[in-house]
Amino acid sequence: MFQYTVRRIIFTVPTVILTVSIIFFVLRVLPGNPAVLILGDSASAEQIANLQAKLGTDLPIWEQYIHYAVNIIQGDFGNSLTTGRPVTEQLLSLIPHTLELALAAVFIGALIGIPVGIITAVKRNTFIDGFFRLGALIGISMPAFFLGLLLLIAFSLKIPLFPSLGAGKGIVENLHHLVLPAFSLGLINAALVMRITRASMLEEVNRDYVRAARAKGLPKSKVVGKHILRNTLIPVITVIGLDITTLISGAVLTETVFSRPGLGSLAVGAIKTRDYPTLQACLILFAILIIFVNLLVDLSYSVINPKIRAK
Amino acid sequence: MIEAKLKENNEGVLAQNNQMPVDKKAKSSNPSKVYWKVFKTSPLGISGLVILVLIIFAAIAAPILAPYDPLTQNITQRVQGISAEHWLGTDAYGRDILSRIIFGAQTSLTVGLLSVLASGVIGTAIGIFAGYKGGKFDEILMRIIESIMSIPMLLLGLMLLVALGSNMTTLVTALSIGLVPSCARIARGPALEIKESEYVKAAIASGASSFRIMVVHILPNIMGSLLVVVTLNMASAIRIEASLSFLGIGIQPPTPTWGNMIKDSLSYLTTAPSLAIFPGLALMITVIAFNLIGDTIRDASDPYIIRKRG
Repeated sequence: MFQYTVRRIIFTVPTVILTVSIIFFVLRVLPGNPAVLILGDSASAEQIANLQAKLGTDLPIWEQYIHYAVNIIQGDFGNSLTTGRPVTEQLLSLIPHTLELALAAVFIGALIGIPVGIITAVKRNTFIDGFFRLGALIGISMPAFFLGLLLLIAFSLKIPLFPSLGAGKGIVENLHHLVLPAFSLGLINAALVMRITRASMLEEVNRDYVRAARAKGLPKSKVVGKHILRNTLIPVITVIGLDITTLISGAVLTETVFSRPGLGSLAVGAIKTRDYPTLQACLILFAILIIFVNLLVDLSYSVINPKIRAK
Repeated sequence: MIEAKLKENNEGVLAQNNQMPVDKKAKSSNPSKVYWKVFKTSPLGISGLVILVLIIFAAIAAPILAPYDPLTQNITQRVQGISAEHWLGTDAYGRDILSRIIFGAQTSLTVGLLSVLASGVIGTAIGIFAGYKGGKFDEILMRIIESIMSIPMLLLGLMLLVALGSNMTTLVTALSIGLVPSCARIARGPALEIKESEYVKAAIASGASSFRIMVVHILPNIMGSLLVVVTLNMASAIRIEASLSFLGIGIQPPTPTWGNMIKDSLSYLTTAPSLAIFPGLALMITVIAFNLIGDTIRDASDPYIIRKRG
């Protein structure tokens, strides 16, 4: 176990370096001169030179790359071009908002997705199964921003139950603001969870131990509840808790729709204002987060299934 | 992540299926007949196909079908509701929404098709090559694939569009890069297994080149699972293109796309929510159609289901 963990962590290092380098390449090398991109074609040579000095893009590429790497390790992402404040400070102040949204979405996803997944697997090929599978299909096909907009139109603009923008102050107001964004992200999550729960339940149904339990005369509820469910849920829970890629893209769109402060809306805002350092920092943070969470998922799999360790 | 895991599961199942002795009945007919057989018995699959055919028809025949020019502005007819003249109303510039949605299908399908084709060819080539060659080469390619996967496609698109400017070429490139890992991973697994098989060894012994083995012996074995991935990728590509255009960084106005139509509707959500709802429905139905077809083809590649239905 220890050996596997260490090896898996070591394997992560090149992935992190490579990913961070890809971001550097795309944002710094591809555009030619980022300063021109930020200021537009009408900028004077002096303005461009000033900004280049500020961003450090006047140095040779390899020197820029070293600065970039050192700064990331130190957690220093420079200053925002729009507010002038350190980017790291901004990121830290916004992380709780995005985290709150993500956790609420995961919670809603599990709360709806797991029971519905179980019901559809048990009642396979009935009307209920068909109905929820269609619902899940719509869920996974629904772009996050469109579901957000529909909820916004229905429950905020037409029936004014919930506020349409911002995050609110204080716990009560905060939760009130959270409901619609959390559901628009959570329902999509629920569709994914339902499909995976149903699939893994159906996989277990035909196993020998289930047949044995049935043969010895256990009631169906016990076979499903005690035997199948336990074996199904461990992987399902591991995966849903950590569905990070979908969550991050979803958060970017949902935060934009609901004008909610967070890392996603920060990134989108940074694109509109050409705030390069902020955009770069958001992308690096997202990528590292994804790699880290994937590592956790892999490690938790190996705890559950010893066969993976052996490989 | 879950999608990735689901895909992984499918990859496993599909890879196994490739190795399984084929049902005699299925073997005697050609693969396209087998697919058709499963489609015939699947109402959802059929409806997906019908919807897709309609959308493709609308996209191709857009200049004939669309009642108005999608770009012609008419200030006297701004933000009008549903009427006999404008079936789905008009937008903030008095442009006909139905016409814009029909032309939007062109954009969505073109972007989707181009990026899926490019990623399909490149991804499959990388996957087969990595699986067949193995060793260090495989290790390096897989690390690169893993890195690309750790940047969500939406953010990869954002990044490239910011760096290179918002245009169709960049958008298709970004989506293609984002989709390459799915194709590479699905091709690599079977390639790893098949290269150990007796018939590949026999082919090597009889002097076949690596290229011939990869194209003639490995590629056909992957086609079924690749078809599933490519169809589901089409759904992702269309969804992400719309998301990027919605964020204002994808395809730029005045070209009508479902994403930027929804973006333009944001200031009218209270007074005219239909401006957002109609293009959104078009987008959703298209993505559903591709997902339905993908799911059905996946069932069709599962010998267990074929036997049961056949």
